[in-house]
Amino acid sequence: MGMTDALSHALDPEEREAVLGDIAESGATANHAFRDVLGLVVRRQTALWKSAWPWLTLAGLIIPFGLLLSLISRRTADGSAICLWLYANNWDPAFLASSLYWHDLARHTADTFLSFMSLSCFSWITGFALGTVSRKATPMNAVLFCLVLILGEFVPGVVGAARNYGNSVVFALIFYRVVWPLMVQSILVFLPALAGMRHAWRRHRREGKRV
Amino acid sequence: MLGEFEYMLLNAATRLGHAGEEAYGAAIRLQIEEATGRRYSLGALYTTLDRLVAQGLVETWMGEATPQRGGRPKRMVRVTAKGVQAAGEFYNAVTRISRGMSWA
Repeated sequence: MGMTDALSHALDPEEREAVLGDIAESGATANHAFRDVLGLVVRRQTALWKSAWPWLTLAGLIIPFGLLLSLISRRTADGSAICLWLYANNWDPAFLASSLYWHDLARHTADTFLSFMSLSCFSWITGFALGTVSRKATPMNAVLFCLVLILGEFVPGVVGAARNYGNSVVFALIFYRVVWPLMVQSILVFLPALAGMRHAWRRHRREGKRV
Repeated sequence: MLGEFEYMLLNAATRLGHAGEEAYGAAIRLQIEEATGRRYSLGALYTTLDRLVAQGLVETWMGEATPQRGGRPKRMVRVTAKGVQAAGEFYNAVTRISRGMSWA
């Protein structure tokens, strides 16, 4: 029932209570309960698309910001991958004695940290904006935003230029080519955006808005 | 003109009311499922209910919570005079069009 309960949060609070009560009373199996709630959530979410707002949100927020974040995320991942490769794959104990090594390490760490923080803040703000536009449409917006982020990976030109300038040895490794960008996008874009949406969604609930 | 499921929902809610029982989501669904022998989703029930509310054919409000519902309230349903009239018109239309027919 855990998944059914989690999914039911996409419904209005009053409707959620009535639906979960009906399910408890009817003694439905976990499978039937999940299908019932999923069916209602899908009907409620698709009904929202009869108005103009979801379309405007899609065109004005989800697609442009999803693609932009996808692009920035890939560039950030590629830039940091080169630094990571330099230090993790080529490390030598002799570096410890070099002051230049420590200087460069401090500079690269600070640069990477700043770019990671900027990306996650931008993602959180985008998520917060998406959650603020409409409480009811937040679940659908989250799914669409995630889809645009994934699709953004396939847009020509999104793959960073960093991969072309003598860095092929870095990106020949599957970790830096595939796994690292996915980690960066998941941790620095998707999770902060989801947290932003959740924050806006909870604020709507506290204020009792039914938008 | 009502749809088939809308009519069944109005019928079930009215029948429960006449029997002195509470008309709410789970009870209405049980009535319809017993009569038709098929399963209807809560999604179909609640979206139809909203449509009927929007048309002024039923009124709904949050009722009491009971232990067998895990302490959750019921969404109570009452058919309005306009709903009774719409159900009557649907029934009369089906009766008229079925006159002289035999499906056995």
